[in-house]
Amino acid sequence: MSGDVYGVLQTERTTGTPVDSVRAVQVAVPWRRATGPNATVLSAISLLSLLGAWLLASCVLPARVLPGPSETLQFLWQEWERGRLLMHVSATIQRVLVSFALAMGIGVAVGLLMGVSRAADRLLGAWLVSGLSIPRIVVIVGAYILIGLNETAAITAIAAVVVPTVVAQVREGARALDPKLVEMARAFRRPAAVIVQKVVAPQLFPYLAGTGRAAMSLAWKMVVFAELMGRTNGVGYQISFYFQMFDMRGILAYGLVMIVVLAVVDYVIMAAWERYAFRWRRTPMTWIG
Amino acid sequence: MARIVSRGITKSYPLPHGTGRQVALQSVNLEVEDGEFVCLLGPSGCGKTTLLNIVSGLDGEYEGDLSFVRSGALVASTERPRIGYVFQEARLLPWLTVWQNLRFVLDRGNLSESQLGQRIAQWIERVGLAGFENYYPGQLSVGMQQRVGLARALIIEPEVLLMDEPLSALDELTAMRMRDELVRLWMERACTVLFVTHNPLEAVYLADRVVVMTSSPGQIVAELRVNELLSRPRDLEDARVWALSRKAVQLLENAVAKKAIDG
Repeated sequence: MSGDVYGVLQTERTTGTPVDSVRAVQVAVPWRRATGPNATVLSAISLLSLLGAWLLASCVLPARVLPGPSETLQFLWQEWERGRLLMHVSATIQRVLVSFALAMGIGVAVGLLMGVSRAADRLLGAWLVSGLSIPRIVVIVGAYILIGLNETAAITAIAAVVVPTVVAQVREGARALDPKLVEMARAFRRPAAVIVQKVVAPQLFPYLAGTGRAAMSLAWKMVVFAELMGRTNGVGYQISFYFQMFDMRGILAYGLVMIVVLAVVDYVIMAAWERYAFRWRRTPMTWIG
Repeated sequence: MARIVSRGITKSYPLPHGTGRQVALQSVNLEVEDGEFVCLLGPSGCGKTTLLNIVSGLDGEYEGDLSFVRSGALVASTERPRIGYVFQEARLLPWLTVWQNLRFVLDRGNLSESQLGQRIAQWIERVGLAGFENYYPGQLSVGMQQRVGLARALIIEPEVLLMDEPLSALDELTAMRMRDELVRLWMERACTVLFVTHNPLEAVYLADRVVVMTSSPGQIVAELRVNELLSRPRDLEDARVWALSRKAVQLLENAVAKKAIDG
């Protein structure tokens, strides 16, 4: 994992030529000490204890109620051999990707508008508050009733559930834009396209990255509901199918797959992008008033 | 180089709730000669920054005339001279390195990327930051950030250099060194400078001419032709510098007192 040492590049403000004035100082922060080689060990303990608890519980409880890890994995392997696993998981991933893209597109546009224009913020305020507070299940059921039991309804519903979260976060980003930096760029006569690319966009990145992760994990959870209630394939459909069969192995197996795929997407892809986008933030800022 | 000519510049802001307008600048007539170093001295809120923003073109809503004259000919209003701006805070882009921050303000023009690179390296060297090309602003001290800000304003080879209390966020020791560097860089290439400050000693030490402003409304009330009394290089320990700085404060106080009586 990142940050094996909590190193802070401390700079001297008051004295000397630049060469003596910068000095790397290792600042010991006791409550952050639990990093380094320890971090990997602790994470491993966390994961193993979870697996251990599952194993233990499965020994105590009847197999019909809680199958153990090995049974679940065995079941997963069967699903894979029958070709079901790939089919259902890829159907789910496709839905998530399409509705995620849709929600980010709409949400970023509306969020920017609301953050920049006070009139738009007021006009859309009630929509946003309702969108954030409506029970998500209502949106999904509503979409199936309004649009019909089809793919369009499922994707619309997932996107509709995710959009308000995206709007709210992007709006914060747009509100936090620093007008002073734009002013600087204008004083130096930078073309508008350059200002957007080099001055505005980097300020929005933190919000976009955080929003992307939140939207992805929300879409990932909602897709299961949408499939469970109105689709004939996908992970959610399989869970509903095995629920009707009262087969706990199937439910756990597909649940496990969802955890693994989201973890890969979130910790590997999204986090790597975030780290890249914020390489300039590795060291603390010394903003002046 | 360019001469700045402003005539009758008046600027007002609407007050909240439609209760009239606040006059920020009242009929400001100011001319800055080719290659002249003028300090605008005045208390906070006297409209110094407002005036700089008008001169820089950032603020286009004012009454009066502003023009630039380059070697005797009026510069067309569509063309505007090249203007470098140093702000009170460095206002560097935190996600760009020192090198990239300087590259940001440069137009490619007909230079090759390697010629641009040479020019950037030269300026980093000139402001004493060699070796820090790839540092991000957040890794630099405030004083070093402001050096980058200065290099950024000068690298575009400005005809007019505008500076808005650029040293006021620095500690006095760093500010003293930066003042000397600034004078040295300015003497080497002599661009027209309009420097805003509320520090009378700094104004006298740096300027050819100190223009004194008072607030509410912001207007020019006096001026002090320092270059007729002091030659360069100047010495901050020179008793005449201190005497002139006291004189500048007096001019300001007299104007404030007169305003109080008139008002």
